[in-house]
Amino acid sequence: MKYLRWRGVVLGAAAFLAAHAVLVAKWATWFGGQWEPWFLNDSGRAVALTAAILFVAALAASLLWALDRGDAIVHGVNVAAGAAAAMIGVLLAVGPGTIFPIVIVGGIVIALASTVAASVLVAAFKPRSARSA
Amino acid sequence: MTTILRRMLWLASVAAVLWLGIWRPQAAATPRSQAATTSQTRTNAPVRTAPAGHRVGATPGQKGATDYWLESQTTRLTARYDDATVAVGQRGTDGNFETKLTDRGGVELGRFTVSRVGPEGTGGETVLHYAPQAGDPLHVYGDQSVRPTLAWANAQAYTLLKDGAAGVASLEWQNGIMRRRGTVRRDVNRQPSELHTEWAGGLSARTLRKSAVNLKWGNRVLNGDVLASRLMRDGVQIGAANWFAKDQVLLWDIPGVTSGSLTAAELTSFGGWPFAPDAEWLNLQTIAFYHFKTAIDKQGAVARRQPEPSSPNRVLDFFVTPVLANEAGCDGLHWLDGTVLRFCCDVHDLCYEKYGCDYRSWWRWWSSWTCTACNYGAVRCFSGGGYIPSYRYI
Repeated sequence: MKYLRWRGVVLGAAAFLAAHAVLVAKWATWFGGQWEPWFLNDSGRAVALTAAILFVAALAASLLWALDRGDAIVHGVNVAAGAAAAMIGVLLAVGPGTIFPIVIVGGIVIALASTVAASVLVAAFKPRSARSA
Repeated sequence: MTTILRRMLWLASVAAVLWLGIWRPQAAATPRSQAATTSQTRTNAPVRTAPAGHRVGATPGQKGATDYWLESQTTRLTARYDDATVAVGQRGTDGNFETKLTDRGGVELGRFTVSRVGPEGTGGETVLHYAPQAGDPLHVYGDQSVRPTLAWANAQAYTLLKDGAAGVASLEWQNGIMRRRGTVRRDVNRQPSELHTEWAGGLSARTLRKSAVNLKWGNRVLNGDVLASRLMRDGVQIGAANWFAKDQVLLWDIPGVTSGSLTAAELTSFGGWPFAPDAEWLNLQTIAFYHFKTAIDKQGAVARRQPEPSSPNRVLDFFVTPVLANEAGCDGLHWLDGTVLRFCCDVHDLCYEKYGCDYRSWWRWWSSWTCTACNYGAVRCFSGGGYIPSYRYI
């Protein structure tokens, strides 16, 4: 529980659900609409949008709530964890395909990459350690 | 059971090769004496014994209906010649053809069109129009013994370009190809150094002329000219077939679909290969291997087995949308459909279809070892960047 940041987790889940809501609303017009609305199901725009929203969420979480550099990274990972939980829920709801574990791993990699990138960016402007300050 | 199925598939493949390979597009008219004999045998003819060791599997000079059907699905045929000339033949919606000839730099050298004015098939009237960039256009009737195909149109267009056709009076039909009178005979079908067949449903095959030097295959060593065909679907390679002309060996491998070999020794009852495979045939044959096998699978020759869900699964299904049918490509990961990883998904789909697996096999791994093997193969394929070391389990 040492590394659990509930606000980050909730924000990550909310960010993913918000991104998914945009995909559902605009799936046919913005994203081609060939398959089920799902961020890994289009040619790349949906992936970019979801990654961007998660990036912004992690950026906000790290900026607002992180105490130091390490905490910023932890917040980024927590945002990814929340997004992953929401992602699995949405995937089960829309119907797990035949390779759904691989899809989940792929989704988590994208979520982690974008949130950790944001938190690393924030970490550069945070003090080295809150305890040493 | 698997062994029987595999043998049946192999036999079907052999039959397909022989069935489809009944051509050498000489397109020569049937001699009158032969036609007369044929009509005589229709009335009170004695039953004749076919001598062993004779070529009975084909009628040289005539393609079969299956081959014509396969050819009719070709939307575009691109032939590249050694002198850098490119002939691109396209089939129109009205069944007519047009071949465009270009040089190394893409500059147009001429156009050749084939218009049908009679019923389709051998004997149907066609009008041929050749319009070179330099020189007078040509407007003639086609030879009624020739049933035009895209490959024929490309070969004819290239021949007219190379022969420098000057006028109708200077032309004659040589072996189904219109040529300048007095020119030395040559096999125009063997000339393209590369032939690209674009087929229906995103399938395509590209054959290149190569050469093999001491290539080990079992106990044999293969040498000489090779026609190497690569089968693609939506831009991703899904299989290959090679024809070794000197050794008379055909090898093919379409992972997850079919793989095998055929040698002249296995066709002794047909007197060896009943025709000389060329690039057009190899492309169509490779496509046919894939098309017919996957069509059989889709149409239920391999029965789908879906077990009744157990109680925990029924509970789970209440919350989870059951997805039993595979989508084409990567389910839930269609973002990667255009990449090499698409291949992993297709092999995995085929494996699921064959063994009646569904998504539950991921966590109920003990319920079916074959389904677990499908999943393991998919994971290995993804982690290996699109490479599966063995498909033998499918």
